[in-house]
Amino acid sequence: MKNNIVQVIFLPIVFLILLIFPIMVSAQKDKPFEIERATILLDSTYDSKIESPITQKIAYYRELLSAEMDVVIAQCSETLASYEPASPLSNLLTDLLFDYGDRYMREQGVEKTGVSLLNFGGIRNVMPQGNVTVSDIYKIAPFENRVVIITIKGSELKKVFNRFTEKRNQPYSQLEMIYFNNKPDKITINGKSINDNDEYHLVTVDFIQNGGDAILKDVEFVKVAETNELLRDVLVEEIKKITTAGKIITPVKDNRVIIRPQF
Amino acid sequence: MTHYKILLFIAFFCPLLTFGQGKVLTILHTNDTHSQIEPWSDKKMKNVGGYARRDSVIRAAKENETPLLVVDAGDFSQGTPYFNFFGGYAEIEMMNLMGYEVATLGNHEFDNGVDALSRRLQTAQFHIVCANYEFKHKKLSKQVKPYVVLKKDDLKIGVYGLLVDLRGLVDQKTIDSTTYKDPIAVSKEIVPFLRNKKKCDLIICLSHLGFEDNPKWVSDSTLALAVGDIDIVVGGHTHRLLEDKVVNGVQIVQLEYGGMRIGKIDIRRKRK
Ligand SMILES: [Zn+2]
Repeated sequence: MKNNIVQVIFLPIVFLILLIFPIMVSAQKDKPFEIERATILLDSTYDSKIESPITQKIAYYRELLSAEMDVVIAQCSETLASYEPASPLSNLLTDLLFDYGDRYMREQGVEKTGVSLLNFGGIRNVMPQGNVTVSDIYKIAPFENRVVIITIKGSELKKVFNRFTEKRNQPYSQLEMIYFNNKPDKITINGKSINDNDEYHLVTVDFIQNGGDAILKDVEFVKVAETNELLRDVLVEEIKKITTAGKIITPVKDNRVIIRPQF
Repeated sequence: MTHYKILLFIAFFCPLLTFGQGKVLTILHTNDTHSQIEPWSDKKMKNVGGYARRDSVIRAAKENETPLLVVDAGDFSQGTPYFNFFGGYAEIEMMNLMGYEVATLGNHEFDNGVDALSRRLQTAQFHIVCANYEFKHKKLSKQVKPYVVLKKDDLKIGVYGLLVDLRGLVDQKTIDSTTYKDPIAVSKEIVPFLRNKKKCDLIICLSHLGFEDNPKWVSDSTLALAVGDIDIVVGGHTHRLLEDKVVNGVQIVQLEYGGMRIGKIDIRRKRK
């Protein structure tokens, strides 16, 4: 008897539900189609065991790439790190950036006193002791930031650096700042004071130019020259020049940040 | 007892049979794959993605009887040194091999300028669609079509493309050489045209507008609200995984970043 009930009533219902279930799943509006979607996470279960045109092509490009990335472009005397307010690595990078930007403008026939400016947030790795490869520079500067040279009035330039504090500043080159009780007290460019009405070159990256980290917030520019060169490409080329000159990279320690009173 | 078992057997397999019926198309889609040719090596990403695995899924789908359409919603360029060293050619070469049929342009496709983009699109064996831009670059304006109509068995599919306003995303030179048109106004013309004039059964928008919840912004959701006759929006740009988003009857899909996943859509004809 029990079996009979199952067969006569229960099963047909199950049957019917299962039959119309797929239609219920995704029928929508009055469109003539049903859409069923899924996303597939591409983990190692999808690894192909056999060689295919794609795996061959990937291998081909991987080999070419590692040949480029593993090229040793310089030697470094010790591991260089980046930290506030001034560090061996941030000093080196801003110096190289300045050299490039200054030369770029001279080649355009424009000579002005200049400084360079980066942001600590954009320096993502250390420079290793010993061999320095292209890949190391990619790790230090992984972002797609391009070098720009901003022409700026002395008064506006002062505004930028006067906002720095001993605890919160950004890396720069050619400039000396003395902090007194955590506030900028004296700012000079290669020992000379900044004149409000003179024009200066600020070599930096488009990220900062476009408002990144609010470093140039409410700062007026006279004009901007876009070099269209990526920061890391510039760094690679400038570092190669150090090697060509027969030198190795050593930590730069100078007076760009002086903190007073010193205890 | 035998009756019982047979009935149970039928009850379980009948739905599976009907489920397989009426399947007219499988779409595989990606967006914002950003030159991630090799799997992610990050610890956080746990070794996911990569072209080889994506290719395994596509190849498996090609072996099914159901027609297949592989599409991308833009930003296949930029993100790894592969792009920087090979200028975006490696990505396109391998998208050809994987069997992509249509892609739209993302903002990062313009990273090396319009000349470079046009040069490498010359090597693409798939259609590039973008309906809401005019390009002053002569060759590029021919390479990029507003839409394509594809036929898969007796199914007519209209695929068109949309791209976000590039201002602030690419350099000024590129902005100056392009003219942006409102994506919704463009869609209001192109969708009825594809449906009525081109007699498309299915209309797919490859969108690099992004998905935003805020209705004030032009995005895939405002597009769907304004143009409900689109069947599927394959979106991108905002790197947001949309698991089941239907707005105004429009199915909107999007994956995150760097080709960690591939999306799959099965289309079935409803029985009358
Ligand atoms: Zn994008």
